[in-house]
Parts: sequence; C-alpha cells; structure tokens
Amino acid sequence: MNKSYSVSDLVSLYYENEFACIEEIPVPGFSLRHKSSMKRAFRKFKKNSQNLYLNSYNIPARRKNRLNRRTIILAIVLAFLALISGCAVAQFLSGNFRGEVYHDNTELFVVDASNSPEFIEYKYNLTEIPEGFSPITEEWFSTPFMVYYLYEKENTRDHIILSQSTKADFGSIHLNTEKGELTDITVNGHNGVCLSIIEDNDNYACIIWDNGDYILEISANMEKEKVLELAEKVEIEK
Amino acid sequence: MISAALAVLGSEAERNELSHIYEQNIRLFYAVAFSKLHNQHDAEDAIQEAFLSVANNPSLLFRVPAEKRVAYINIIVRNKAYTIWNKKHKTEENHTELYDTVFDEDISTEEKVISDFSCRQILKFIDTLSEANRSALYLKIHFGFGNDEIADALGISEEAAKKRISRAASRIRQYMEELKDE
Repeated sequence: MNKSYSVSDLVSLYYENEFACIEEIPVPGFSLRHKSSMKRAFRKFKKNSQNLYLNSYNIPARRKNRLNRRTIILAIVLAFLALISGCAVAQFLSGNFRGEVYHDNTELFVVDASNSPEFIEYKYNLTEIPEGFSPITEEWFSTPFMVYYLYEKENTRDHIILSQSTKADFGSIHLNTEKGELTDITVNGHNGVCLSIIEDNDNYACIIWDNGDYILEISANMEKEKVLELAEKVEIEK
Repeated sequence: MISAALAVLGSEAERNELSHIYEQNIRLFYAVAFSKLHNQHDAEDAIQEAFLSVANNPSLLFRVPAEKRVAYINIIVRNKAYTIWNKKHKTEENHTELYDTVFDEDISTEEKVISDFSCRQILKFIDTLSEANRSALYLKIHFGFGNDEIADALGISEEAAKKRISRAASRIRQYMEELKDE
C-alpha cells in the first residue's frame, strides 16, 4: 500500500490512534468539588454563549426590570401555563435575591443589579486561610467581571471555593435543592442565602450574599456553620 | 462560519451543549485524563479545568464543526492533564521552549510522505514531541485555528502558541529531511 500522507494527515492520524487506543476505565463517583466546578463551567458557558448571541445582534445583554404592561401579561400567561401543565413554579424573595423553585433545583437571580461596579475594581479574599489549606487557583479562572479562588487541603478532598462577581455578571445560578435546604442567612450584616447538603455523611454548604457592591459566593465541603465563619472572614484583599 | 454558528446560539439546546457533551463523553474524557495522571483527583482537575477553559470562550467550540467538538475538548483535557503532570513532576518543558528561536516562515505541513515505512517512522517521531507543541500544531492544522485562538484554547499567550506551532512543524520537517537523506 503506497498511500500518500501529508504532515497534517499524520498529526491528525497520531491523535486518532491515541484516542482510539485509550482503554475504557470505570468512571468513579466524582467529588462534590468536581461537580460544583462543572456546574460553574456549564453556567459560565451558558452565559457566555448567550452574550455571544446577543453581541452578534447588538442586543444589550441586560435590561432593567420594569413592570410594564408586556411584562405583566407575560407573567399572567406563564402562571396560566404553569397551572395547566401541573408544574407550578414557586417563587421567593430574599433580600436582593429572587428564586424560582423547581422540583429538583432552585434558580437564584439577583433582583437589582444596579449600584454595582461594572468590573471587579477591588478583590475580596479570605483574610484567614484555614490550617492546611493552600491556594491553587490558576489566573485564567478569573475574568474582569469575576474573581475565583480555590483552596485545597493537600492529600485530601477538602476544598474551599470563593468567587466574587459583579451583580450584572452573576446572572443566575442553579442550586441543587433536591438534596439540600435553602435558607436565609446574614453575613456581616448583609443578606444572603445558604444551601446546605448532607449526602453520604459528606457535608457541603454554599453561601451566596450581596455585600452591597458585589455578589460573593463561598462553598466548601464543610458544615454550614464553618462555611459561615469563613464567609465572615472575607474582606477586601490588601 | 462564526456567524453561521451564532445564528443558532439563541436556542436553549445550544447554550446547554457543553453539558450534553460532558454527559455523553465523560467516560472518554476521564480515560484520557486518567491515562496520563493515574489519579482520580488530578483527572477530575484536568477535566474541570478543560471545561472551564472552553466555557470561557464558547465561540471557539462553535467554530469547530459539530462532529469534531468532542475531539477538540479531548485535546484540551489531554493538554490540561499534561500540564498538571508536568507541574507535579517539576517538568519545565513549556517554559524553557519559550526562549527558543521562532521561525516566522509559513508552516507548510502539506509535503507528502509516500511510503508506509516513512509514515510509521514519522508517527513515532510525532510521539516524541512535547504534548504542548504537538497539541498546538494539531489545533492549527486539524481545526484551522489561528494563533490567537490556539492561545485562548490552551490558556497561553499568542506568542507562546506561535512558538509551539513553529517548533513542532519545523522539527517534523527536519526529521522528514533526515529520512529522505537516509
């Protein structure tokens, strides 16, 4: 056989062979930290895709919430459709957060995104890192609108994720309320919500609060009380 | 191509494409990462870093034809796995090569290789290149990415992307010359 190949063909062939001979291995149960990071990635992808689409048509990414006639009619139609389809969506308000409760998750929105800097002007971080934890975040995790810190305890699965986003960039977040409980919480006098999950003897808690300028989110595979202690130690980075 | 992709981005299905790709191919992504790292924790890291990187710039994914998107993410996962492995083993290949000479010439990869023997030899040679250089070249020739897009995909600077591609292509060309001389 004297087939002719270009270098391009060969480089492609190399990777085809590489991926073809990868042995299938059983996929383990992934850690909560991985699941949380993947959710964050999907959320980010969804938001960036949406912005890509809006930008391509020069549509402003966000519009102010106004209770105009069209909005009211839309709300009535949605409520009617939800009623006849039997999948009623409950809503709740907690400070500057609004939630839409579905059967297995709650989508959390920021009600008022005004009065927030357009970009991250100053960063918040933990003033005190718990013993044994060290930062491992790569720079590219962050954007001008969001800062992301990841701390891990060596040789364990213990982790802390802290993120800070502008209110406009926050968009919405889906919280797994099928296995967890969502409650109101106060962090240094600022209103927020807390999701706590206990699954297979593993604790996980996520606290999201509005500190006036930014939306801060801290999550860790720890008890709710310990995560709240950490949240209260989040201050402007010096 | 981008505008064509953008035309359908308005749908919810498109915006959820990344999670569908993940759910459908997680076994493959995990196997790719684990085959290099041999550690579940690190393999998880490689996968999540790869997906965060893709999420940061969805236009790159939509630029890739639908049938090649899994291959594209595979490359990113593999690249992240090698980066994690290099960090753990204190390998500095990605840094040292930045000081290498950059050839600004066009990267010609269309020269034909006739014999099967040469083909096998070159495949073996490609295996000896660093993953950093090899994956950059692959993104260039298989997906038609520009240097800026490769830089975005691999989380490196445009200059570094250019150097990696140039280095991989010139080393393959040099090896082909040596094969001809033999």
